[in-house]
Amino acid sequence: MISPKSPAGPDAPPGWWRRNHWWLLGALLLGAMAFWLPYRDALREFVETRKPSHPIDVPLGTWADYEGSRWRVTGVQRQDMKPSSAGYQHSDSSLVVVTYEVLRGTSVTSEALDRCNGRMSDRQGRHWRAGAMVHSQLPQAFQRLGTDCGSRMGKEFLREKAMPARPFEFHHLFQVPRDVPTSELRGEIAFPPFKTTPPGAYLRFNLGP
Amino acid sequence: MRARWIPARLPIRWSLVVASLLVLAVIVWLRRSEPGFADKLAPFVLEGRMEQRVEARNFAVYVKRIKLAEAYLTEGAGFGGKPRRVAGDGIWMSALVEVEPLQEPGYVSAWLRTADGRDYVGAPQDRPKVRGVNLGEQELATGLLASGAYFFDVPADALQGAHLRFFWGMSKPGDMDHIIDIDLQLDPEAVHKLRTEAVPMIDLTP
Repeated sequence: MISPKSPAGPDAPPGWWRRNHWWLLGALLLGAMAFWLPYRDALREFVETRKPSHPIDVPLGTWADYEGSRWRVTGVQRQDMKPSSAGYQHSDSSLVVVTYEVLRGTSVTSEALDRCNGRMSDRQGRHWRAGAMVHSQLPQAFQRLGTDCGSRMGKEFLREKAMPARPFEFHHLFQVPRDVPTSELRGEIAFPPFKTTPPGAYLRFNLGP
Repeated sequence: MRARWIPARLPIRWSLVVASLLVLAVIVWLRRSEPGFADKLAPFVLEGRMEQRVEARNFAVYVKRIKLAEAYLTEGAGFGGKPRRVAGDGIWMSALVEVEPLQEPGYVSAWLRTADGRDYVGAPQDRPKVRGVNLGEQELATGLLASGAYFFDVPADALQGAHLRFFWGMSKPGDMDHIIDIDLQLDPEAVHKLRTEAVPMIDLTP
């Protein structure tokens, strides 16, 4: 048996859709959020574990705790270079050597410290990697330049390693445009972002006053 | 015996059937016209021309000019080795460029795309061996404007209508990254002029 149609007209009772429209709207909103929120969290986690994302700003000369060890910048040297010092013809540049000191934590190995990533950035967000290719043009620092943080090349090409709780000095070399003043530069020490706490944390030392 | 709740005769609303079929057809059409996975991740092409600085996500390129040569004279093997003549299988085309990494250090690669879609990858560092000039496979520092060239060994008849393409990285353009496409404006007249100006050998010894 088919039920007769409900009477239409101004006095007719409201239909099911009209009676439940607020519930339907809420369900739609919750449904959309159920998709969006996990996606947003996954995206944030992906970005944070992919590259350094949380800078810990440190003034020049100040100690900072990071990944079980203590770190500071003890010196910055700058030297103008010829326009072919990177191995090709280029615009005017300077070499910047940043000297760091690390007090290795007792629970950290020098091999773990060597997993660091030495970088330099400026206020425009540009980055440089440690290890410019002109070491031979800086004879006074040649022996100790490198890209590691827990070991360095010593005399007679023997590797020297950081010892627990003993100051260990290492140097990172960068090649930057000459028109960028040192005060605009920041030396950075970053470990793989997925291993730091919080993910993506890294040290950012101001190299200017 | 039929269940009591099933009506004796089911009414068919033809309007609803037609509407459902239409919706289905639209869904199928939308699914078929949806771009594929490779299309969604394809790099974006930025077009430019010679003597124009074109900026991509992480690098900028300025193509100054192109030259042809039958062969190059390059430094020899080892220290003090005799200079050697490096002839192309086709003809050598060099593109004199300025390249600048804008945000981070790395590599800018180039290839030549012919009018019929063939790609010729820029020559590696060891052929022709011209240290400090060949920017192929050369790591470039951020913010430094590098001057040099990319070299291509191409069939002489492939030049007409060819474009020069640049991307960030060494092996292939990154997903959803930029490709810079420079129209070399190589019409028959320009190719003829280039070939007339081509020299049998360019000395690239240091």
